[in-house]
Amino acid sequence: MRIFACALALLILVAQGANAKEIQVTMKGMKYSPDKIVAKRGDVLVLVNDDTVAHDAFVSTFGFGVNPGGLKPGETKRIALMKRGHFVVECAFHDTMKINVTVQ
Amino acid sequence: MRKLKLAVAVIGIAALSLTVAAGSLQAGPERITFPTDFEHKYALYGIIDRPDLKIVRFFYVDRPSLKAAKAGKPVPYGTTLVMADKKAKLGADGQPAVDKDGRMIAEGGWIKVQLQKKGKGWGDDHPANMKNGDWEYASFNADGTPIADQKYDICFGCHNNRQSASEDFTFLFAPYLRDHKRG
Repeated sequence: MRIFACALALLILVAQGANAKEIQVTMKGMKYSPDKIVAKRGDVLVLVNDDTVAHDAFVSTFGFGVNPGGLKPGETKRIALMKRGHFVVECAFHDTMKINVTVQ
Repeated sequence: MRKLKLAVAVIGIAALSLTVAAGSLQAGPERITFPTDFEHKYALYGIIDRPDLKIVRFFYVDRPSLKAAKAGKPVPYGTTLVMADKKAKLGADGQPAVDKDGRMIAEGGWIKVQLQKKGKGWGDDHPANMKNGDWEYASFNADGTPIADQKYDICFGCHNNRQSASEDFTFLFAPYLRDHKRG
């Protein structure tokens, strides 16, 4: 019975991993695009600075806080979405740049 | 008589210079004292994982100020915000280990404690290009001793990107209040 439960748990994990996807976010023109994201647990935000100025992408929401560091033009950073809920991604340098993210 | 007037003028200028110098010395990190035992006396309002720096940052605020701000009042004078760093636990690959929610795991004691404090009129002593309302910044080692060679222009510069009244030069405190206000 225990072996069956472990196998089932492993199968679920593998299935989740197989369904995980990368969601690309661009920053051209000082705008995150898209600025609203509905994702599944396990998905990954791929933050691409395709703009001509430096940006940043930190999560300010309590319980979800992460800052992968600043992004110079041409740089890419990633945020793995492992916790369900709603949070906001912001650029530290430009306070109008925001992404609303829901992880289901 | 002429010599006497000259001497009085020189003394007057010297006294004025000393007064200005003393005022300048008061503007800056020395206005902020280290809040001993902040991790117990203050309220936690944020945790930020910094995988690039391999640290976990904890954010605290003094409780009276939090209470006032949560009630909808402007962030009061005397408010002290703390940003305190701990090392992240690393995995075998040398990268930060994470829990089931993808959160990094802090370990050990504090390695650096940085403060942001608001005092009435404090901004008046700063030039326009290095003035964030009435906030001052100070950095301390874990034992509470000031970090002597800390440069504060980066604090002023970065926090200056949050100038609106609701943000009040804060990155995490304003969103926390937005999400946790009473009434």
